[in-house]
Amino acid sequence: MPRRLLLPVTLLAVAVLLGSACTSSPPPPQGGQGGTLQLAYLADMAQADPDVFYDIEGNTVILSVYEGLLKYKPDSTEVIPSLAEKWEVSPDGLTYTFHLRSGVKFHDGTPFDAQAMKTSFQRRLDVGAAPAYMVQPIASMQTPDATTFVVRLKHPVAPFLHYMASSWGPKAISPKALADHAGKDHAQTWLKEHADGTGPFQLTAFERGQRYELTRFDGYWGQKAHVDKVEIRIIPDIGTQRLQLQSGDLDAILHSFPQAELESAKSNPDLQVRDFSSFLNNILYLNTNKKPLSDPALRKTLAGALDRDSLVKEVYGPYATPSSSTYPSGLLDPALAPVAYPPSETTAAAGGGSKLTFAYTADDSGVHRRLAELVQQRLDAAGFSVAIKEVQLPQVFEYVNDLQAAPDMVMQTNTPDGAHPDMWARIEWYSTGGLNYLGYKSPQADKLLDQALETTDQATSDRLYGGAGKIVARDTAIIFVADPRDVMVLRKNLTGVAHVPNYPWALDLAALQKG
Amino acid sequence: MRIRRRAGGRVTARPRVARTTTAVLSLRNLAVSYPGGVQALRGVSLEVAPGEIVGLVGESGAGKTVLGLAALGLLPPSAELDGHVFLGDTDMATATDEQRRIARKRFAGAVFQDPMTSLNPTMTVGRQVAEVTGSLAAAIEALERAHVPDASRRAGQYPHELSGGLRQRVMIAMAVAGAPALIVADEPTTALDVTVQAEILRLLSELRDETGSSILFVTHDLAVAAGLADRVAVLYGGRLAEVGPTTELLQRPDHPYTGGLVAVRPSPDSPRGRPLPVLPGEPPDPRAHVDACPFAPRCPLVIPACEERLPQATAAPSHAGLVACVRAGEPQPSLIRVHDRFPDRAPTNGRPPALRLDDLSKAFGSRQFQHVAVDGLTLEVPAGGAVALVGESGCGKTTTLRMAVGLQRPDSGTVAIGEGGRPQLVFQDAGASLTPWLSVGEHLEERLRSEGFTAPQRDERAREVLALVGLPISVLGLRARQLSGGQRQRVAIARAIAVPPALLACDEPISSLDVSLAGAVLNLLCRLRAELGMAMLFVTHDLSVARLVGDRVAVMHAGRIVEEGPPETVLDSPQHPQTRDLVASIPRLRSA
Amino acid sequence: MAASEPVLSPVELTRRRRAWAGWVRLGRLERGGLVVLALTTAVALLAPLLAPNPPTTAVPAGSFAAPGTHGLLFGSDDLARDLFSRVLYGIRASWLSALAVIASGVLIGGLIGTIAGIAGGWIDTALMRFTDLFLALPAAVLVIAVVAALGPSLPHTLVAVGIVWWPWYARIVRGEVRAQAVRSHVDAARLAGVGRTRLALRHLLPGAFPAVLVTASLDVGSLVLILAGLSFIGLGSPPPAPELGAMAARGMPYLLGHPWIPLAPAIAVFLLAVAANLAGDGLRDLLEDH
Repeated sequence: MPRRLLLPVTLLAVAVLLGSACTSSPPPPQGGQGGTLQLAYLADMAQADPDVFYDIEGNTVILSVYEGLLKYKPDSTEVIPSLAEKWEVSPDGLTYTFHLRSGVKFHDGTPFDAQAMKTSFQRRLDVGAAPAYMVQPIASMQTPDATTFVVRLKHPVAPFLHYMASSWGPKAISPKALADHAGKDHAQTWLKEHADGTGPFQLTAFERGQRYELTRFDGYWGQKAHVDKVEIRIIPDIGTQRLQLQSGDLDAILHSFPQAELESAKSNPDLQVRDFSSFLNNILYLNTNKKPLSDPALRKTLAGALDRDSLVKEVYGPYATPSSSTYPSGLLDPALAPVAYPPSETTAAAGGGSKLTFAYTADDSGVHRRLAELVQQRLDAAGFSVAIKEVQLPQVFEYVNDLQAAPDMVMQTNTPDGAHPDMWARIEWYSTGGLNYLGYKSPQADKLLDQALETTDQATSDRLYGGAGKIVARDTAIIFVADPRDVMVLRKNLTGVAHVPNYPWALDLAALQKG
Repeated sequence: MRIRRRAGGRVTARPRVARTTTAVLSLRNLAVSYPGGVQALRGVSLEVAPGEIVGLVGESGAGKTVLGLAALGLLPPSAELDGHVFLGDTDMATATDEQRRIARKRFAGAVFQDPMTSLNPTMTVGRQVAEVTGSLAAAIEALERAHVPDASRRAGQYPHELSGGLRQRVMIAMAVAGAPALIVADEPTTALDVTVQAEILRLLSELRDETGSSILFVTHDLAVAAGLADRVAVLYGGRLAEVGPTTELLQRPDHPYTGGLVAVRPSPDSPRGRPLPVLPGEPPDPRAHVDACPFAPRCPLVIPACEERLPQATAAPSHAGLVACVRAGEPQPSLIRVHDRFPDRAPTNGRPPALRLDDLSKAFGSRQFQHVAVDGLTLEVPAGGAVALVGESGCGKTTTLRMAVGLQRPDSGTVAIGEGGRPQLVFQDAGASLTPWLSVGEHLEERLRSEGFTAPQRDERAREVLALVGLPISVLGLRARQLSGGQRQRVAIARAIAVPPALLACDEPISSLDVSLAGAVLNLLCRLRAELGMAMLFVTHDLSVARLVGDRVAVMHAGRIVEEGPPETVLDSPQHPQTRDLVASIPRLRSA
Repeated sequence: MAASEPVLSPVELTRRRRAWAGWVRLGRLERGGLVVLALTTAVALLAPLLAPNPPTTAVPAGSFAAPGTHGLLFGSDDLARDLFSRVLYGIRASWLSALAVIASGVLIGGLIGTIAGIAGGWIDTALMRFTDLFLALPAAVLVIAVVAALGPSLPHTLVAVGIVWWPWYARIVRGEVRAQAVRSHVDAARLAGVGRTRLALRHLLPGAFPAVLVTASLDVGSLVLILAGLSFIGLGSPPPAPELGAMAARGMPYLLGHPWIPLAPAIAVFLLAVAANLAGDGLRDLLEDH
């Protein structure tokens, strides 16, 4: 009897789900030094190969195990030394000379040198995956001595230093590991689930779908990690993570904490709620390629009907500011590419009954859904007829292949690859941009961006980026909704919390202490 | 009066003795009612002495089954009891479940009407009896005492492998196994053939003689009680009408109801060609009892005092018993209207026979387990004539009837119907033959419409037909469950004769009716037959009825006719051994 | 012979008494169930009149208003909508949907079952095997597949559920028709000259009615739960439509902070299912009389 079983089976499933929340707890940490840091991911990171990895969930692992030439200072966009102690840039912007740190070893004991860096760069070019664009402008690389690494570019690249500091930028991978496990694919198979870098942690376990384990690397050149181990478990349900955080089985939730429960978390004596500035940007894309939003006037009407500022306040509370620019705040002077969506006096017939489909990506904090439903409510009241549906990110990437069948509106929260306006505009509204989901095309904006990329003078470059942004703003093709902060909820006993705006959902694990 | 405890242990065999003062069962003013306002018993007092057989006679709704259950303490929890029921020394009305169970175990045994539902179909007969006797050996002994032939072999059989009579013997064996002081037998022979019934009654009498157990024998058939009981108690409308020694009570009944029961029962002496005596009206509904004599609406001796209060039981004038009637002992008017005759029948000479069955055969079941129901049967019913078909259960009477009216097709042989309307069948269970959710009017209308009557014609004929069967026009809007048993039977007959059929087949039409009603229905059938000139094929197990109704009587056995002829010949000087058995088994009212 | 006029049996005179007796026989729980059943149907039909606010527009009191404040009986949800109104509309949707599915099941299943029961022979076999085919379909998977193919909306979901629901009724009706067919009133009707179609419609089919009614009334409870479960996982009307299961699912993130948001619709589902089941019990007890 199938249907008579539906209810008991459902109940059983619920019981199992609840039961999975009560997994065994790890051993209690000692105060101060040592202990195991318990973290969780909502999804498997798919792979640990730094030349292929292009997600956000997984940053903590990559950044703990590998290092690039440069990195960002906590709470700022300033580029500071990492494996390169100092560097020079030629006036024509074509030659970068990096002076590397000495005495650095890989996890397997191999010493780090310029040749190793060159090998890693070359490998990234050879693998040619998503992050490879950062090394594609390179014309040639030289290693005059063990601590000097010279890179010559084909043309000036304004954000090049930010490429080096990006969490997806080129990392130093042990040449021995690359050679030993080269196989036929430049060691991709091995690096999927193993790691050999110079970072403060080693990847000691990678159980796909279950857990990853990082162990302190005592041979690290810098400040050694305080904790002995980091265990990252895959817990796909944010509610379960929250319960575990409350009971002490988890030490921190680094992202997607249910927005609705931040208040109660704040008043919980065992927890601390921290929010950091970030380059996250909540965006509403409009499909300019088909009716009805191919009409610019209607797009403006829509933007006005949103009452965007009150929308942001209602959903995010104190944890986001309404976007004031087409660029995330901190990336570019907002005055260069401002946006504003003042609420307009919309009558109930303003929308003219236009039917709109609105897709939003599922996010565990519940923010996207609430935003989407509020948008629906307000647009419906203004005479539109909005049908919303929740989709998964891979679906969103498919829309560009058939824009007529794609939804009229898509909502997503994105972050730039690095702290440079080019690393935002190029992916967001460049005609071939990877995050230009609904295929907005402006040849004018494209031209400005191409120009800006090769401009060596910072001020001119900024102005050009601003110009490109102004075009998008004028077209109302993309509505920039909010600049959310990176919100994390940690156990009260965690100290040494260091966050970089451009490394979203991640903390410096080496700096963290328990107890 | 204090009931003294019986000494434990087996009662030794002793012959029939007069009543002693220590009663085995004592009912004191017992009243039983059910939720919904049903008053099953209203203040009944009765005693059963050790070694006595008391026949409890009553029609449907009188409360006799309830009395039997009350004696055993087996009433459902929803029943409300007032008064006392002493089984041995336990008051079953107020005892706990445990106490009742112990009392039953020590003092009582029971035999119910349908052994098939009382026996566990998944256990062998021997094992079930052994549950009561303790051991299989004792069980076989008990079966032998109940005259089960080949008892040790039978003990290993399952209930469905035994005939109805044998099953009942098994029940009796179980009932007497514990040497109970009282056996309550509730209609134990009603479902059995007449010959088997006679044997079972004999068995019960013997057992009483051997073991000294008392028997409370509940039945609706006065004649059966008369043959077995020392005393007869007559129940009507939840009250005891009369109780007294059998022979005297039946010869000189003091209560008009008892007198009526005696008079209306068809017997071999009832005169042919005359209507049977009938009691007017119908038995009362247990939901609508009032504080008056329940028999008053039908009583020929009724006076205003009867309707003012319930008559109390007083000493009977004509016998050593009790009677509850204010006019007890006064002469009761005869219910036989001497000058009543059925009208003369319409002439039927020269018409082809209404029914001719020629070498009819029918078998059921697969090739392997074939059961031959009818085996080369030949029978003729002349136009306007009546043939009574008698025989024991399983002889194929019902199958023959169904083939005669066309509900079943024979395997071989022919069925020929004479002139007149489509043959009709009056079923044994009239209630089941009416579609429960259709009204009487709708039934009649259907019948008439299929015969081509127009709407106004249907209306008129429906009224005519209801008048013919003696029903008021108001039943047109009622459904089967709103009618009494007698009314349902009349409706079924009305439907059948709405367009007079060439042949009216009747399958035991009165066997499920109360005695006081059966006569009226029989009279109706005979009168209709005379007025409408229909032929009848009348199946019955009751030879007295066969004699009254049939111009000819046909005896059926194992699928064929074994003897046929005018009733006097067949019944008074039977030739075939089967017929002789049947005739010998008729229970009679007035004999020693 | 003078027709002795039998007195019209007192049974007829107490017809009302019998109905009352039926009611009296029911336990308190079953009576309560029937009363709640009547009330629920009333609420379902009158929801648009009873709801103080429209179910999808924002009320001035804003989001997360606590129950009892600002004149909102159940407070407001995360989109500033009146939860009480939404629950009323949700009850309406659940109840009427359940009834719609049952009605379609009874009609389709009843038709197939009747034909099978009456025709017998190979038609019966063929129809019953056809029915078995649908019985064997995994209900949940089928519903998801249908809705995925047609798109999420309440009518699509109901169609999908209806597809797997009718086989039960086909079996019941067939069984009852066959049971009725061997009773003597059918023989009697045949003798009375009633034709085959009329025989089926008037003398066989109505006998199946009690069994179908009891099953249907018990099904209402199951269906309410199943539909709520389906809309919980997103197969039902898309938001912002008020559907109890979807409302409970959407409200889950607020369970700890503002529990009334998911609890109000969840309790409504529970009460609906309980009422339907009790009413079904009550109906069965009442019908057992006949």
